[in-house]
Amino acid sequence: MILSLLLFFGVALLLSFEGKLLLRLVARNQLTRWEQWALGFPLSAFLNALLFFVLTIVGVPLTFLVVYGAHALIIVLLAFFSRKISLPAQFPITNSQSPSNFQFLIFNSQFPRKFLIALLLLSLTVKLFYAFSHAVFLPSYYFDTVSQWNMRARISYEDHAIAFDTDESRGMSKPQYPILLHALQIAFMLPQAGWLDRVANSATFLLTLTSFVTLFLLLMRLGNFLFALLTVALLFMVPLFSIHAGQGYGDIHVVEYLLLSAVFLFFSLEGTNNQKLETKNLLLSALFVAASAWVKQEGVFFGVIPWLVLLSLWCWRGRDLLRRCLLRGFLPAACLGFLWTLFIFTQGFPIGAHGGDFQPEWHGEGISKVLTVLFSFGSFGMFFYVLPVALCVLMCATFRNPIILWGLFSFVETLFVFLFTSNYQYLMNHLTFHRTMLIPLSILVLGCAFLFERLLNKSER
Amino acid sequence: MWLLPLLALTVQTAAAQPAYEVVPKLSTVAMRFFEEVIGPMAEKTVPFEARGRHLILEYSADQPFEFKVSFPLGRASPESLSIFQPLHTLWVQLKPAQHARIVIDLARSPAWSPWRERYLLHAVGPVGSTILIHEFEMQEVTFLGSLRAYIRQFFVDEPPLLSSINFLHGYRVAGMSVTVLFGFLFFAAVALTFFSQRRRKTVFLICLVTLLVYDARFSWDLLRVSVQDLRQWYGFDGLTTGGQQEYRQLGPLPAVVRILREEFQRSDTGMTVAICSDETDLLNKQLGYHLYPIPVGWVETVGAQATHLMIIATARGTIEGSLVSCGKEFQRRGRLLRAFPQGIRIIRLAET
Repeated sequence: MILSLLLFFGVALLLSFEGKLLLRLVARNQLTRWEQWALGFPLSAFLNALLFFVLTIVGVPLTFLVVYGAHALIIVLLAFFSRKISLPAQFPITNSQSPSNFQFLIFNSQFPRKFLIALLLLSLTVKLFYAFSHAVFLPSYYFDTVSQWNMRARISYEDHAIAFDTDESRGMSKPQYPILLHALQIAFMLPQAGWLDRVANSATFLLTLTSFVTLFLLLMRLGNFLFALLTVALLFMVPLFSIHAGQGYGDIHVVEYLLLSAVFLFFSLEGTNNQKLETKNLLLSALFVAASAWVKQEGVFFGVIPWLVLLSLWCWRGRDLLRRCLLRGFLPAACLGFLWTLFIFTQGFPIGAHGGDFQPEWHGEGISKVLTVLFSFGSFGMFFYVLPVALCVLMCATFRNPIILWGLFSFVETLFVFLFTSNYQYLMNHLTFHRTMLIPLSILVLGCAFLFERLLNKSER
Repeated sequence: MWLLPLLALTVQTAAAQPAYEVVPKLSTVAMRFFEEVIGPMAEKTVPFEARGRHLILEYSADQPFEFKVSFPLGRASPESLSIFQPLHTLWVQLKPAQHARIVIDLARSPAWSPWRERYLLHAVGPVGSTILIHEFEMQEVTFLGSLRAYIRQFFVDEPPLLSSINFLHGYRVAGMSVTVLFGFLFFAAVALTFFSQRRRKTVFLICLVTLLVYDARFSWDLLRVSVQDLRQWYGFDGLTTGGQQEYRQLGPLPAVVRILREEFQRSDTGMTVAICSDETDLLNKQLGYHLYPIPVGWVETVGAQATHLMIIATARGTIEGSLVSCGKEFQRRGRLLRAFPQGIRIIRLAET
């Protein structure tokens, strides 16, 4: 038990360190030490997935020696290169404007402000307790966890190779699922004596935890403690989001990577004036949006594609801008983001999670179902009442925001997928529509937070 | 053979015998745990039309039976009169008695409202039992009584089901969605801000308060379900002595996994587990995951090479002496290793 715990933390530390070194290379000391450690884990989880992919392509067995030998080699190379070319900290990774003294509305006096902080902390503590107890102390429960996610990771772990089963003889048959979560679970399991369900779920829980800690730290730099706390707490106020934080499915991890990508995209596009693009942040944004495509294919459709469209619109203004966008944005996002899709296409596996996902069909009768789901079910609480009102007020008061555009793009895409394709059935039986809707909803909540912060900055000036 | 011959609806008040209040449970209470199969059951359903909150029932029965009340969804079509949300169904377990009078508080279901007129009443009992329903009566509801019922309904929890990872049903009061009710209040409050001097700030405040109120309600459920799950799994209730116990709909599956793992360690020639069940795929998938690399499958597919058979809550699975059957298609010799009270039996099959 204690040895298992030590090994778990050893792997977590090693992966975080690897990610930290990679961040030093690509972000050149723009992040604080805490931010580097926290962000290092989601980044190295992506690197780990790419490593597993390369080893699978080459046909090398995924044993402890091979995987950790490769990680050791990557760490040595990263340490060497980051030492060579990293520069001392020059400018912070924040908005170019001065950080706002975020006081929430009428809460300028100390008591209501402290009361609000206490409420938000309490709300987050409950969510953390639920997520931690269900991920770490309780067994895997949900259907896809034991039939697809953890099951495929377990079979791959025993086989020392990623499983691409196309029939149910071994209990799972989704060879098209991207491998980031499976690779992460296997990496944590290799030093252990055998497959441990709670280690598998703890590994993905750590990904959630580090992603939201990073998000919090980055938002704190943009605004202040209350702004960061409010934004993160708002995300967890989406009821279905809290359930997914207890682990088991991949949807929350797609959202995590997309939120990280959105923050860096915001820093890159909005944090500077229109003529100067902050390319280091853009590269990080590109890496994280590509990572989302390695968790679930929803990452491609609701992450990579809208991201590329947004960047194209932005960079259309000048040749120099376009060149910089191409090298630090388009290329890494498209090459890494579409790599898995290209791979499964060449292998002849279906692109979507279910066969025939892209059959075009119009289902007008689904509109009433969409409205029922958004406004009278419990998955999203009050968000689809509050969000349109907040958006209207914010967008009347302040200017457009790329993250809001991304969120709206994803929202329309989601509606399109469930009303114009055979995915309609998953709207009617509630199988995937609610989960997919978490993606645009989370991006819109983050976009609103950015608009709100900008609005306060504007009114202060 | 069982009977329901004396179904009658009356609106008379007062009867000679006193009526005892029976606290009904929502069907979600049973749904969130492993479902035990008691034996072959028969069910009779009748519609019932009346307004009120307390249903008074006079019955006679020679065996225990379940009495359920469902709330039809609408009157849009004749079919919709028999469609109901099973999560909102109330049920009570009734003892054998002669002319017993009981009171059931229908407001315990979030689908109840004082305007509701139509109900579906189900009696479920063992085949061969005799159940006589002599009289139904509905008691009127007061304004304060309705108000108290709404508050209670608001605190009916979101059931932690297998489907909860895909969607949440949400809360309901008086048969209406709480998000819709809150939504109307929210829009009304926002509309009122047009008369406010600090319109934008007030709108943001209303948005925040709306989200916080709903979040407080949902957080309470998260906290409660976390504590319940931990208590059930670790046996903190004082009845069990620690260790992994049961978990939600999985029932005694962890203990089953332990026994089969021990069998696997003792086995020299490998092992295949066949499952004989009428249930959905969940237990099969759970066993497949926890026992991997031991092959696990339905008796129809792996029955021929199976070394072990698991009978899960089905009348098809029987053991007579050393003869083990799962329907007529599967018959082998075997020895019972363990029987669980929930209807799960583990059998080591003899070599063919």
